[in-house]
Amino acid sequence: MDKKTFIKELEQALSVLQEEELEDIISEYEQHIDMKKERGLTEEEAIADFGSLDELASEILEAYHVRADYGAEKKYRRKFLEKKPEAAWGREKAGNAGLFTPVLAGMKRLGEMLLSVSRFWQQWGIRIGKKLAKFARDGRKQAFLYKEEAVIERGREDIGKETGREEDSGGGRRRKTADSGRLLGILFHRTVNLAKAIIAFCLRILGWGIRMIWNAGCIGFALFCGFLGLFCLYGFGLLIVLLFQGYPLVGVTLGCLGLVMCTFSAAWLGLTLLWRVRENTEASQCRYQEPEGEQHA
Amino acid sequence: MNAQFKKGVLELIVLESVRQRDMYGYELVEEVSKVVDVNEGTIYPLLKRLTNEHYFETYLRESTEGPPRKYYHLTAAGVLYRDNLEKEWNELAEKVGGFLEECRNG
Repeated sequence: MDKKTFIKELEQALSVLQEEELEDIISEYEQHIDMKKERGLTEEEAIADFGSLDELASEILEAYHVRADYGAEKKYRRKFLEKKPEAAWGREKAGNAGLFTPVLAGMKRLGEMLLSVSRFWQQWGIRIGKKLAKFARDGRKQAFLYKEEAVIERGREDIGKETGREEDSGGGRRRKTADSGRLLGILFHRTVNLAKAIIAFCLRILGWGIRMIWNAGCIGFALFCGFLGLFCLYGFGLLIVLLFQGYPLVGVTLGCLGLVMCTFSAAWLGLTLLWRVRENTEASQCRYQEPEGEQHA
Repeated sequence: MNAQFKKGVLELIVLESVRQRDMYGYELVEEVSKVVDVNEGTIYPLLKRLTNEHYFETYLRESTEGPPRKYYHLTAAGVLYRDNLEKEWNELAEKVGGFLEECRNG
């Protein structure tokens, strides 16, 4: 391996690192190789001294507290995603057709397809249930998971294709039936995936809408009660003044005091009924205690 | 030598070398290679890790040949860490030595 390929491969293996850190590390190795060359060694010898590139990369990643198999996982996934079904198709056309085998294989494929479809519906049901439970909580995270799942699913599909190709080695028509079956399956799978995504999106929007309406109602109620409370407080002050001037207004004043407390409590209730997305933090609790202080004052 | 042994003491050797004087990567690799025969590639990750953990600080200095070199310098935390490692190493060597001696006699 010469210096160029070594550096390129090392860069690829460490691609998770930050740009500057990567440059830093790469330049150290480059310098090392250059110095070795000055001492009379060839590039190949200098690089051979580093040992296996994978081990080296994993040691460097370890120094950054990155899981060493992070990059490998990505590579693995990419490998399966990049395989195109067309390549397999082209090769199959050269084979010969049997008499009954295509029917049998087609049936087998159909069965497998139906099985996978049913599995999908099952998963879909479970997922919808989960969505209903979670949709109001963390939409963005869900979307991300969704994407990840789709990628893995697609990878699995491709693996399926690979193994399928190796299993039956002969019979052009049989292959064709099998492949069209598989293609149908994939198309259906994609459609279902799309439908799932759309439904999840609609559910999230619906949840958001309901939450907004509910919150608007709560805030409106709280504001109304708050202003009513302030008005009552004003009345209460007025009544106290009148009481001291000798009017027989003790009952009415006490009633007014009760009304003040009632309205402020109702306002506070409205605020506590707010549908909050996050858990109550200390800060938000402090904020919602303010009306209580007002009430005592 | 056993690779696991080497891995364990490599840190101590690197720290001690840099304590003597500030060194750049390649120089350090050569220095360490005098003591233990080690895969040269593994020293850079070690330097990186010790720098990330603030036992080393680095600075660039021009060289007469080639690009500027990154020198490593031992920090106060690094000195403490080194002393600690040395103590542990001595204890271990003493204990293992004692054990082997005992076995030979007994």
